[in-house]
Amino acid sequence: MPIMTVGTGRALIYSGIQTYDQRVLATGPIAYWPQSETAGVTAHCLVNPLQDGTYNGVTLANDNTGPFGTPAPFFDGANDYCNTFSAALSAVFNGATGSIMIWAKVANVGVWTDGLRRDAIMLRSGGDYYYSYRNVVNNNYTYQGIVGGGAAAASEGGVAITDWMCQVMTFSDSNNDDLLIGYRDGAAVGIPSAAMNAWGGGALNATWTCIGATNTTPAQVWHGWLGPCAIWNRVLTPAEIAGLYVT
Amino acid sequence: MADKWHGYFAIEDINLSDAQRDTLVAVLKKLGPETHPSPACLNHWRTRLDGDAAIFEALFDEDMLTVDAFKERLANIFNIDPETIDHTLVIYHFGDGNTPVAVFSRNGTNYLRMALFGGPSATWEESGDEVRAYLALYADQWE
Repeated sequence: MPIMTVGTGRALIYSGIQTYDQRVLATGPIAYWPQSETAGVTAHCLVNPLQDGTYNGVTLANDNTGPFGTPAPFFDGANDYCNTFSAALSAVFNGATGSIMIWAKVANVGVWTDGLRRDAIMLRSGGDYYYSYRNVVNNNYTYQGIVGGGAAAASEGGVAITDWMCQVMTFSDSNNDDLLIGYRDGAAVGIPSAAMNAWGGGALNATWTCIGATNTTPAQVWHGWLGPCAIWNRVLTPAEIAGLYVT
Repeated sequence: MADKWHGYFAIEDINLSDAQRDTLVAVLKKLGPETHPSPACLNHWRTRLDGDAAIFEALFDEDMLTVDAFKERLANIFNIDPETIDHTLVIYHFGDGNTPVAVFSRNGTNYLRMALFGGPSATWEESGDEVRAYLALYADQWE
């Protein structure tokens, strides 16, 4: 059955029956925040309510600003973030093997050249980090893993996109390959990097597990909109990643 | 009911003690509505890396952000008469807007700097443009 398109043109209804939320949940994430609330400070996790996040300062919309015609919060580039830390998330997150997705849209094209690092998502445990961000290099977006003292990064240059981007990173040392791959809009970007070492396995950091900033200070804050965000404890296949971005 | 202003202001500790600064920050964190459907209207803040400055945003009562209101707060902290607190006021232009910056002093000693990004007539977007321009200018202190 063909994909039905509505709103901004991307699929809201898939195969005639599934919403985007249902499609994401069908892939078995350990956490999924659609970030489509229109009021309140709670970013609901559809996998486990004990993993709900907390909005701090974001502007919630009641319109179709999101990638699928649903609302999406605006992060002001000054002091907004969503704190996604929870003991429940920390208990299930496995930094040795996984995938992270976040839909992101910059406020305007000038964000790509403002000289500031702006994090879409950050997960930290001890000295180990995974994060996805607009790099300080002009028009650059980077998927980064700093694990066991080894730093892996896949970057895409020449980016000046002002539409929604589906940013995904996968990481794995299940085969001792320590491989990190970045994907934008369903396709791999940059050069896969295998410079990480073994994940330490500690708990997530309560102040460095955020959407839209590095930490709850907050530093390196996102300027623009951030939409659906999910985490998996497995490496998604390229076909699955392509399926998360459907136009 | 006081007029409302949704925007950003910053304070910088110039010569307060840690206890005085903590008292002031605790008071400032309570400005704005206790509840609101929009997180942007609730008081939230960002701390400079050295801990000596912070930026606050909320849907504030305008009369809570005046020079006199800050003198009153400082007077309470120091347990002095607010009439003995002096101030200077300079307009900065971090972006395209006007940002009044007040420095509060007593007996020739500066104690606190306060910036109202965009000024009292700025819209939230205009105040935001000023604070983002400021943060870009001083990124080494805030990032």
